[in-house]
Amino acid sequence: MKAFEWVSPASVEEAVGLLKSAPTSREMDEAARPLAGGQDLLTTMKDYLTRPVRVVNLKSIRGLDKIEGDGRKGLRVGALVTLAQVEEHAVIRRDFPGLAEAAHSVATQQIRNLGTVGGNLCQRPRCWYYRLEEAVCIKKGGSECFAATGENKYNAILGGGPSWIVHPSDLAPMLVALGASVNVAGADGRRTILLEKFFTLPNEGSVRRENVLQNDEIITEVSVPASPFAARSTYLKFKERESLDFALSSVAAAVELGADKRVRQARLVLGGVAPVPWRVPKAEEFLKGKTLDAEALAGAARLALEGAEPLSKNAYKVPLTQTLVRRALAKAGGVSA
Amino acid sequence: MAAAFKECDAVVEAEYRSPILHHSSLETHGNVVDYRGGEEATVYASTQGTFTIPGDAAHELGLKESAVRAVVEHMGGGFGSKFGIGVEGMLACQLSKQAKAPVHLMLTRKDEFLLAGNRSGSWQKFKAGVRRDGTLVALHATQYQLGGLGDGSQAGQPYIYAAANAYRERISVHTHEDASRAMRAPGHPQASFAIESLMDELAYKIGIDPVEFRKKNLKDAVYHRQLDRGAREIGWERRNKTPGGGTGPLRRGMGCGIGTWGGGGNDECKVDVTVARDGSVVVAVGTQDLGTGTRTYTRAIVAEELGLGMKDVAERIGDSRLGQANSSGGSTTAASLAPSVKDAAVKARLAVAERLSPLLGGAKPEEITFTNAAVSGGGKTLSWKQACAALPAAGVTGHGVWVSSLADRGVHGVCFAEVEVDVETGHVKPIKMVHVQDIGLPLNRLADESQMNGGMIQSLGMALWEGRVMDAKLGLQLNAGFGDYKLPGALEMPEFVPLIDDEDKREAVIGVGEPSIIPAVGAVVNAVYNACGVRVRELPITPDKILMGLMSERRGA
Ligand SMILES: Cc1cc2nc3c(=O)[nH]c(=O)nc-3n(C[C@H](O)[C@H](O)[C@H](O)COP(=O)(O)OP(=O)(O)OC[C@H]3O[C@@H](n4cnc5c(N)ncnc54)[C@H](O)[C@@H]3O)c2cc1C
Repeated sequence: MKAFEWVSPASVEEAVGLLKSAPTSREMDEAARPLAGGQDLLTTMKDYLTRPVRVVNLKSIRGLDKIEGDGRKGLRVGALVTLAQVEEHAVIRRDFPGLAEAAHSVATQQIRNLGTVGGNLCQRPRCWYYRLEEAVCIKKGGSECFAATGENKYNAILGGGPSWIVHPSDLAPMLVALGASVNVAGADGRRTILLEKFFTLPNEGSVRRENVLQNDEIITEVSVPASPFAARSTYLKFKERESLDFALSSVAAAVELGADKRVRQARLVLGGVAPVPWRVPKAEEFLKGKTLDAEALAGAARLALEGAEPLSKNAYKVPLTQTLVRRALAKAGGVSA
Repeated sequence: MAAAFKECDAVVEAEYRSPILHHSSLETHGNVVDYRGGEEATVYASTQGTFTIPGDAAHELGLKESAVRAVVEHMGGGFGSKFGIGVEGMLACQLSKQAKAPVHLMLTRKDEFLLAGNRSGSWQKFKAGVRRDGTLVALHATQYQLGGLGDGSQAGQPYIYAAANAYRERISVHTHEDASRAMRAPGHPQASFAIESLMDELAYKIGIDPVEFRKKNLKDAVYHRQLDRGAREIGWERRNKTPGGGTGPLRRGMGCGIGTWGGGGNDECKVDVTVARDGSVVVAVGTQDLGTGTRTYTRAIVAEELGLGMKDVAERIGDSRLGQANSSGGSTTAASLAPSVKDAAVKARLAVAERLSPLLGGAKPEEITFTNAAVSGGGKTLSWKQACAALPAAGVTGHGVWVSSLADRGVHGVCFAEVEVDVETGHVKPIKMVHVQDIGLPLNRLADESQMNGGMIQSLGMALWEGRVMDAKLGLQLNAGFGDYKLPGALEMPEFVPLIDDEDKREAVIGVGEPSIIPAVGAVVNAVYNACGVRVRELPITPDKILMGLMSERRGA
């Protein structure tokens, strides 16, 4: 690990000031970095993927670890709230069940005890080539995405190019499905960003980043609006190894059903298959007014994967994700798949 | 061969592949080398061969072998990868020598994946033919072993089976990857996986029960009884009669596999059992315990012989200053060490008895009994404390050597597995595994069962998750860490039923560590086929392979 300066600010303002003032190049991998639970940042530092000159410890800031609100008022989750707190929170489990499921699906209990909501959304991708110090891929300033023609079993089938990473966060697809926003503080002020607009595809903005944050910006809070579908939300994640694994594919689904059991609104976001949480509006639109029978589920599954362009070793993700779409919608709607 | 194939009613041609695997010892390779100049050095080593260290270290340090002491009180796993001091130990020696200070050098986890050995991969191509009655008539095998810079290893085909006409060739393919090393039953899981897959394919092709088909081609009655027992235990009659049959997304299936191993002991261990005047008992030998319970049985044999409890005996092991012992390789530790411990304990007992004879009415030493911490003879009984008080000031010591009649070699081993496959996701959930193993005289049933459980777990890993992944262009390993090299975890565990085959009446010690990992891979692979109807011929059987297999089947149908 490269030597770095360690600072523990007492306020958000101080933190973003310290991020801004660090002597650094503009490249994110060299810039000062905020540290939350450290479950990802430390591994990227040990492997020299990130070489921050300064590490700004967010855990010394008070007040970023609160969960407030409920399904009627909307939910506000501080950036330092741990994944374990999210999965165990009674109100979240009742009013936003999909969010509790998404948090529970992450890693292991030990990692969830330390990993935070803000860190989870900003964690770096798990692509084998990105994580391998010796492989200078396009995300690390090289010219090539080695996964495009290499070992791409876990890579993207949607939205890929010029990098084919998949976004690793399990919270992200669910929060996008729930219409969440993030409150962001930077040295030049605060802004609120709809989570759906927060993540960036490799061909939008810098291929070396996964979201719109500036180097001096941090997430302070995630806010999830009250919605008629939050109570019928679910997160289905497929892991190759149940004990500990990232998603080979996942589906965040939420539906609002009318008294006639027909879908009034649906939200469907895919995880583990694209460089960003992949919302599928066509499938959502298709479901409107339908009862969740086998035909509707199959139709939504087909539309959800429309446009998928598998690489040499990940075509399996298409049928796998279709299964998950059907199962997630059925679970959210309380019917059998 | 060509003529033999003409006689066959059914022929299968298939190629089976298994990737390079990693030992994945939780403790990486490494040592503390303490050489501060002068005549002597001490090396604290993570090794499965205490006595492989002094010579290697002495060579680096420029000392005499006898001047280097190796200490291996505890070590965190080896699985065949930890013999000799290794490049990491050589570096630590050089550094310690220059710094005149102790040097602690352990490999990082990534180093461990890249340069600390591996189980060689295998590509095995077969053409095999059978008659309608199930007789294996002809088998042609080309076996490639992928050991990187090393030779790799693979048991020769048709492994435990006999074919009237058999031809095999074995080829080592060299690459720039690090050299393979021994790994728990070198070459056997690879060979067993391939031949058991092939036998399954042949059995299904001619429509014979896979268990009956195996029996037809195995003469050894031990295999027959183990197959019968395993089949009974798992409920073989419940298996999917048509592979992939059933309704709904979750399909269950069963399969079996078979293995064999040598083991056996050698005259390599010198053990001292010393009984002191205060009643304390110490058994001392330089051997190492790589997690297989060596400490426990070393102590237990002595305690049993002297009629004492486990807490009354102390063992000192893992030190090259103590009596010579062999390295732990080939499942030969117990069969070499236990008879020597027994011999030392018997000698110590007789030495104590000789001293006590006058106090016990002149009873003959061999007729004096040692039970429940008391010594009896000639109608009298002394407590252990009283008895030992009569010993000379220096106590007495029994020097044990290997007793060949107490060790044996050659075991079988059969495994049955039941799995559940989600045919809409390709997920495989192991349900139950039954392993039947002959091991001669079990020294410690709990530890033996634990070895069998561990073997089943490691086999599961090989069958379903593990494998080195290299990038073909960059020549780099992509999954050199426990995040990406997926060892099975707690949630992957099925119900394990380890069964010691007590019909093996040999009153002799045989190692159980290695045979435990051999037959289960084939069992799991065949269970997956029985469950979902997809024959995956390349390990590990990950969901992508099952899903793609199911899709191409549907396209074919
Ligand atoms: C073995 C393992 C398995 C894992 N499995 C999963 C999984 O299955 N699913 C999943 O979703 N995740 C998984 N993770 C990732 C883990 O969930 C995240 O690492 C964790 O949630 C990150 O939280 P943290 O607080 O530890 O972040 P940190 O490691 O502290 O930070 C992660 C990144 O986010 C930045 N950051 C942190 N907080 C903020 C903030 N408030 N504003 C802006 N940037 C910030 C940091 O600078 C850093 O770049 C796994 C991690 C490991 C080590």
